[in-house]
Amino acid sequence: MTLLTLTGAAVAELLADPSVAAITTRIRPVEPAAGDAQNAGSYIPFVVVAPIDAPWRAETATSVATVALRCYAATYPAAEALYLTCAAVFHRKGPRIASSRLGIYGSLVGGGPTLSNDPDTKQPYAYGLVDLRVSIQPTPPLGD
Amino acid sequence: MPARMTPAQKAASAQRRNAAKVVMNRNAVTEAELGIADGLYEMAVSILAEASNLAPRDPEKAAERGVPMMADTGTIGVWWHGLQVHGAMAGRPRDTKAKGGQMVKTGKDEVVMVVGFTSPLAHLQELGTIKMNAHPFLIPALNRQIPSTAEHVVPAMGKRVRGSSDEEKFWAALDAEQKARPKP
Repeated sequence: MTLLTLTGAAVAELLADPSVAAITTRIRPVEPAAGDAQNAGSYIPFVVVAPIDAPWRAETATSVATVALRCYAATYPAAEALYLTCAAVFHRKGPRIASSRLGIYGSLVGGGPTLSNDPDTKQPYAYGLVDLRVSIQPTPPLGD
Repeated sequence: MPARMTPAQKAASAQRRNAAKVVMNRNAVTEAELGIADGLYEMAVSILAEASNLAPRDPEKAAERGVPMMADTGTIGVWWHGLQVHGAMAGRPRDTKAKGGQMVKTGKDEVVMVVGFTSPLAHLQELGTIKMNAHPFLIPALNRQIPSTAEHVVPAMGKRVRGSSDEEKFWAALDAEQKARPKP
Protein backbone atom coordinates (compact mmCIF):
# COMPACT_ATOMS: atom_id res chain seq x y z
CA MET A 1 0.00 0.00 0.00
CA THR A 2 1.31 3.42 -0.91
CA LEU A 3 1.55 5.76 2.03
CA LEU A 4 0.46 9.24 1.06
CA THR A 5 2.23 11.57 3.40
CA LEU A 6 0.87 15.03 3.00
CA THR A 7 3.45 16.63 5.25
CA GLY A 8 6.21 14.81 3.36
CA ALA A 9 4.88 16.17 0.07
CA ALA A 10 4.84 19.73 1.44
CA VAL A 11 8.39 19.33 2.75
CA ALA A 12 9.55 17.94 -0.60
CA GLU A 13 8.02 20.90 -2.46
CA LEU A 14 9.77 23.36 -0.17
CA LEU A 15 13.10 21.54 -0.51
CA ALA A 16 12.80 21.54 -4.29
CA ASP A 17 12.35 25.31 -4.44
CA PRO A 18 15.63 27.12 -5.14
CA SER A 19 14.52 30.33 -3.40
CA VAL A 20 13.82 28.46 -0.16
CA ALA A 21 16.98 26.37 -0.54
CA ALA A 22 18.97 29.61 -0.86
CA ILE A 23 17.86 30.55 2.67
CA THR A 24 17.75 27.13 4.33
CA THR A 25 17.52 23.44 3.58
CA ARG A 26 16.41 22.68 7.12
CA ILE A 27 12.77 21.93 6.28
CA ARG A 28 11.34 19.64 8.96
CA PRO A 29 8.10 17.70 9.15
CA VAL A 30 6.12 17.93 12.42
CA GLU A 31 9.01 19.00 14.73
CA PRO A 32 12.52 20.47 14.55
CA ALA A 33 15.50 18.14 14.16
CA ALA A 34 18.44 18.02 16.53
CA GLY A 35 20.62 21.07 16.11
CA ASP A 36 17.89 23.33 14.71
CA ALA A 37 17.00 25.01 17.99
CA GLN A 38 19.86 27.20 19.17
CA ASN A 39 20.22 29.74 21.92
CA ALA A 40 20.19 33.50 21.43
CA GLY A 41 23.11 34.75 19.37
CA SER A 42 23.43 31.57 17.33
CA TYR A 43 19.95 31.23 15.84
CA ILE A 44 19.77 29.49 12.46
CA PRO A 45 16.92 29.54 9.95
CA PHE A 46 14.68 26.48 9.67
CA VAL A 47 11.10 25.64 8.79
CA VAL A 48 8.67 23.28 10.51
CA VAL A 49 5.70 21.97 8.53
CA ALA A 50 3.05 20.90 11.05
CA PRO A 51 -0.07 19.01 9.95
CA ILE A 52 -3.15 20.65 11.47
CA ASP A 53 -6.20 18.92 10.00
CA ALA A 54 -7.17 16.88 6.95
CA PRO A 55 -10.91 16.21 6.83
CA TRP A 56 -11.92 13.77 4.09
CA ARG A 57 -14.58 14.44 1.52
CA ALA A 58 -15.71 10.95 0.68
CA GLU A 59 -17.94 12.01 -2.22
CA THR A 60 -14.97 13.36 -4.18
CA ALA A 61 -12.23 11.17 -2.66
CA THR A 62 -10.34 14.31 -1.73
CA SER A 63 -9.22 16.06 1.38
CA VAL A 64 -8.71 19.73 2.11
CA ALA A 65 -5.70 19.51 4.35
CA THR A 66 -4.36 22.36 6.45
CA VAL A 67 -0.69 22.56 7.37
CA ALA A 68 1.03 25.23 9.43
CA LEU A 69 4.32 26.72 8.32
CA ARG A 70 6.51 27.90 11.17
CA CYS A 71 9.51 29.73 9.76
CA TYR A 72 12.28 30.41 12.29
CA ALA A 73 15.16 32.82 11.67
CA ALA A 74 17.61 35.06 13.50
CA THR A 75 15.45 38.19 13.29
CA TYR A 76 11.80 39.02 12.74
CA PRO A 77 12.35 40.47 9.24
CA ALA A 78 14.36 37.39 8.27
CA ALA A 79 11.61 35.13 9.61
CA GLU A 80 9.02 37.10 7.67
CA ALA A 81 11.10 36.89 4.47
CA LEU A 82 11.53 33.14 4.94
CA TYR A 83 7.78 32.72 5.46
CA LEU A 84 6.93 34.73 2.35
CA THR A 85 9.41 32.67 0.31
CA CYS A 86 7.85 29.44 1.58
CA ALA A 87 4.32 30.75 1.08
CA ALA A 88 5.10 31.58 -2.57
CA VAL A 89 5.79 27.87 -3.17
CA PHE A 90 2.17 27.03 -2.33
CA HIS A 91 0.10 30.13 -3.01
CA ARG A 92 -2.38 29.70 -5.86
CA LYS A 93 -0.52 26.76 -7.34
CA GLY A 94 -2.38 24.38 -9.63
CA PRO A 95 -2.50 20.62 -10.04
CA ARG A 96 0.65 18.51 -9.62
CA ILE A 97 1.63 15.05 -8.44
CA ALA A 98 4.03 14.59 -5.54
CA SER A 99 6.77 11.97 -5.70
CA SER A 100 4.69 9.79 -3.36
CA ARG A 101 1.91 9.84 -6.05
CA LEU A 102 -0.17 12.15 -3.89
CA GLY A 103 -2.34 14.22 -6.21
CA ILE A 104 -2.40 17.88 -5.26
CA TYR A 105 -5.24 19.65 -7.08
CA GLY A 106 -4.37 23.06 -5.78
CA SER A 107 -2.94 24.92 -2.85
CA LEU A 108 -3.59 28.26 -1.24
CA VAL A 109 -1.96 30.18 1.57
CA GLY A 110 -4.70 31.10 4.03
CA GLY A 111 -2.97 34.02 5.66
CA GLY A 112 0.05 35.18 7.54
CA PRO A 113 2.72 35.86 8.32
CA THR A 114 2.03 36.37 11.99
CA LEU A 115 5.17 37.11 13.95
CA SER A 116 5.95 35.62 17.32
CA ASN A 117 8.85 34.16 19.26
CA ASP A 118 9.35 30.72 20.67
CA PRO A 119 8.52 30.53 24.40
CA ASP A 120 11.59 28.39 25.15
CA THR A 121 14.44 29.71 22.98
CA LYS A 122 12.90 33.15 22.21
CA GLN A 123 13.85 32.62 18.54
CA PRO A 124 11.71 34.81 16.25
CA TYR A 125 9.41 33.03 13.86
CA ALA A 126 6.66 33.78 11.38
CA TYR A 127 3.72 31.45 10.94
CA GLY A 128 0.75 30.94 8.70
CA LEU A 129 -1.54 28.29 7.27
CA VAL A 130 -1.57 26.55 3.91
CA ASP A 131 -4.58 24.71 2.49
CA LEU A 132 -3.88 21.83 0.13
CA ARG A 133 -6.62 20.10 -1.87
CA VAL A 134 -5.30 16.58 -2.23
CA SER A 135 -6.31 13.11 -3.36
CA ILE A 136 -6.88 10.45 -0.71
CA GLN A 137 -5.79 7.68 -3.09
CA PRO A 138 -2.48 7.44 -4.94
CA THR A 139 -2.53 8.87 -8.43
CA PRO A 140 -1.53 6.15 -10.92
CA PRO A 141 1.63 6.80 -12.96
CA LEU A 142 1.15 7.77 -16.61
CA GLY A 143 0.68 4.74 -18.88
CA ASP A 144 -1.08 2.55 -16.27
CA MET B 1 -44.52 58.26 -39.14
CA PRO B 2 -42.18 57.06 -36.40
CA ALA B 3 -39.15 55.03 -37.45
CA ARG B 4 -39.30 51.31 -36.71
CA MET B 5 -37.20 50.07 -33.82
CA THR B 6 -34.46 47.58 -34.48
CA PRO B 7 -34.54 44.28 -32.48
CA ALA B 8 -31.71 45.57 -30.27
CA GLN B 9 -33.64 48.78 -29.56
CA LYS B 10 -36.77 46.74 -28.77
CA ALA B 11 -34.81 44.56 -26.34
CA ALA B 12 -33.29 47.63 -24.67
CA SER B 13 -36.72 49.25 -24.40
CA ALA B 14 -38.21 46.09 -22.83
CA GLN B 15 -35.30 45.91 -20.44
CA ARG B 16 -35.86 49.54 -19.38
CA ARG B 17 -39.57 48.87 -18.79
CA ASN B 18 -38.81 45.78 -16.71
CA ALA B 19 -36.10 47.54 -14.75
CA ALA B 20 -38.52 50.34 -13.88
CA LYS B 21 -40.85 47.79 -12.28
CA VAL B 22 -38.23 46.21 -10.02
CA VAL B 23 -38.27 47.79 -6.58
CA MET B 24 -35.47 47.03 -4.22
CA ASN B 25 -36.80 45.95 -0.83
CA ARG B 26 -33.92 47.24 1.25
CA ASN B 27 -35.55 46.25 4.54
CA ALA B 28 -35.74 42.65 3.41
CA VAL B 29 -32.08 42.70 2.35
CA THR B 30 -31.07 44.10 5.74
CA GLU B 31 -33.14 41.47 7.53
CA ALA B 32 -31.62 38.71 5.38
CA GLU B 33 -28.11 39.92 6.21
CA LEU B 34 -28.95 40.12 9.90
CA GLY B 35 -30.34 36.59 9.57
CA ILE B 36 -26.96 35.49 8.20
CA ALA B 37 -25.32 37.15 11.22
CA ASP B 38 -27.72 35.32 13.59
CA GLY B 39 -26.97 32.01 11.88
CA LEU B 40 -23.22 32.60 11.97
CA TYR B 41 -23.44 33.37 15.67
CA GLU B 42 -25.18 30.03 16.30
CA MET B 43 -22.48 28.35 14.24
CA ALA B 44 -19.76 30.16 16.17
CA VAL B 45 -21.24 28.91 19.45
CA SER B 46 -21.05 25.33 18.11
CA ILE B 47 -17.45 25.83 16.89
CA LEU B 48 -16.42 27.27 20.24
CA ALA B 49 -18.06 24.41 22.17
CA GLU B 50 -16.29 21.84 20.00
CA ALA B 51 -12.94 23.65 20.20
CA SER B 52 -13.23 23.90 24.00
CA ASN B 53 -13.81 20.14 24.14
CA LEU B 54 -10.79 19.45 21.92
CA ALA B 55 -8.48 21.92 23.70
CA PRO B 56 -6.07 20.49 26.26
CA ARG B 57 -6.95 21.22 29.90
CA ASP B 58 -4.55 21.51 32.78
CA PRO B 59 -6.45 22.92 35.78
CA GLU B 60 -3.49 22.48 38.16
CA LYS B 61 -1.12 24.55 36.01
CA ALA B 62 -3.80 27.22 35.48
CA ALA B 63 -4.40 27.43 39.25
CA GLU B 64 -0.65 27.60 39.84
CA ARG B 65 -0.34 30.53 37.44
CA GLY B 66 -3.55 32.15 38.65
CA VAL B 67 -5.04 32.39 35.17
CA PRO B 68 -8.12 30.80 33.60
CA MET B 69 -7.58 27.60 31.63
CA MET B 70 -6.82 28.19 27.97
CA ALA B 71 -9.80 26.05 26.96
CA ASP B 72 -12.11 28.46 28.82
CA THR B 73 -10.86 31.66 27.17
CA GLY B 74 -12.87 31.25 23.97
CA THR B 75 -14.58 34.31 22.56
CA ILE B 76 -16.89 35.11 19.68
CA GLY B 77 -17.73 38.18 17.65
CA VAL B 78 -20.08 38.69 14.69
CA TRP B 79 -19.99 41.94 12.73
CA TRP B 80 -22.52 43.23 10.24
CA HIS B 81 -21.45 46.21 8.10
CA GLY B 82 -18.74 47.02 10.62
CA LEU B 83 -21.07 46.91 13.66
CA GLN B 84 -20.72 44.19 16.26
CA VAL B 85 -24.12 42.50 16.46
CA HIS B 86 -23.28 39.36 18.45
CA GLY B 87 -20.70 38.11 20.89
CA ALA B 88 -18.50 39.70 23.51
CA MET B 89 -15.19 39.73 21.63
CA ALA B 90 -13.24 42.83 22.58
CA GLY B 91 -11.75 45.16 20.05
CA ARG B 92 -13.02 47.72 17.63
CA PRO B 93 -13.59 46.10 14.26
CA ARG B 94 -12.20 48.82 11.99
CA ASP B 95 -8.96 49.18 13.94
CA THR B 96 -6.03 47.05 12.93
CA LYS B 97 -4.38 47.61 16.28
CA ALA B 98 -7.28 47.44 18.72
CA LYS B 99 -5.93 47.59 22.26
CA GLY B 100 -6.87 44.70 24.50
CA GLY B 101 -8.64 42.91 21.71
CA GLN B 102 -8.22 40.98 18.54
CA MET B 103 -7.24 42.54 15.28
CA VAL B 104 -10.52 42.36 13.41
CA LYS B 105 -11.05 44.18 10.16
CA THR B 106 -14.50 44.12 8.60
CA GLY B 107 -15.75 45.64 5.40
CA LYS B 108 -18.79 47.90 4.97
CA ASP B 109 -20.73 45.25 3.05
CA GLU B 110 -19.65 42.14 4.93
CA VAL B 111 -20.94 39.85 7.62
CA VAL B 112 -17.92 38.58 9.56
CA MET B 113 -17.74 35.87 12.22
CA VAL B 114 -14.64 35.48 14.41
CA VAL B 115 -14.01 32.68 16.88
CA GLY B 116 -10.82 32.78 18.91
CA PHE B 117 -9.11 32.18 22.22
CA THR B 118 -7.71 35.11 24.17
CA SER B 119 -5.09 33.07 26.01
CA PRO B 120 -1.54 33.91 24.85
CA LEU B 121 -0.84 30.17 24.82
CA ALA B 122 -3.61 29.31 22.34
CA HIS B 123 -1.60 29.71 19.14
CA LEU B 124 1.30 27.79 20.69
CA GLN B 125 -1.00 24.84 21.40
CA GLU B 126 -2.66 25.06 17.99
CA LEU B 127 0.51 25.28 15.90
CA GLY B 128 3.23 23.91 18.20
CA THR B 129 6.59 25.25 19.38
CA ILE B 130 10.21 24.14 19.11
CA LYS B 131 9.78 21.81 22.08
CA MET B 132 6.12 20.87 21.66
CA ASN B 133 4.23 19.41 18.72
CA ALA B 134 1.05 21.06 17.48
CA HIS B 135 -2.18 20.11 19.27
CA PRO B 136 -4.75 21.66 16.95
CA PHE B 137 -8.20 22.26 18.40
CA LEU B 138 -9.70 25.34 16.69
CA ILE B 139 -9.21 24.52 13.00
CA PRO B 140 -10.45 20.91 13.40
CA ALA B 141 -13.54 22.28 15.21
CA LEU B 142 -14.11 24.76 12.38
CA ASN B 143 -13.71 22.04 9.73
CA ARG B 144 -16.23 19.82 11.52
CA GLN B 145 -18.83 22.59 11.61
CA ILE B 146 -18.41 23.93 8.06
CA PRO B 147 -20.64 21.22 6.46
CA SER B 148 -23.53 22.33 8.73
CA THR B 149 -23.31 26.04 7.84
CA ALA B 150 -26.61 25.96 5.95
CA GLU B 151 -28.35 24.26 8.90
CA HIS B 152 -27.44 27.24 11.06
CA VAL B 153 -27.83 30.10 8.58
CA VAL B 154 -30.92 29.19 6.52
CA PRO B 155 -33.41 28.90 9.44
CA ALA B 156 -32.01 32.08 11.02
CA MET B 157 -32.50 33.96 7.73
CA GLY B 158 -35.99 32.50 7.41
CA LYS B 159 -36.95 33.74 10.86
CA ARG B 160 -35.80 37.29 10.09
CA VAL B 161 -37.19 37.53 6.57
CA ARG B 162 -40.58 36.00 7.42
CA GLY B 163 -40.97 38.46 10.26
CA SER B 164 -40.36 41.44 7.98
CA SER B 165 -42.44 40.40 4.97
CA ASP B 166 -45.69 42.31 4.45
CA GLU B 167 -47.10 39.35 2.56
CA GLU B 168 -46.45 37.05 5.52
CA LYS B 169 -48.07 39.59 7.84
CA PHE B 170 -51.11 39.72 5.53
CA TRP B 171 -51.51 35.92 5.53
CA ALA B 172 -50.99 35.75 9.29
CA ALA B 173 -53.67 38.41 9.83
CA LEU B 174 -56.04 36.55 7.50
CA ASP B 175 -55.42 33.30 9.40
CA ALA B 176 -56.11 35.05 12.69
CA GLU B 177 -59.30 36.60 11.32
CA GLN B 178 -60.56 33.24 10.04
CA LYS B 179 -59.85 31.60 13.39
CA ALA B 180 -61.67 34.39 15.23
CA ARG B 181 -64.75 34.18 12.94
CA PRO B 182 -67.67 32.30 14.60
CA LYS B 183 -68.37 28.94 12.96
CA PRO B 184 -71.81 28.54 11.38
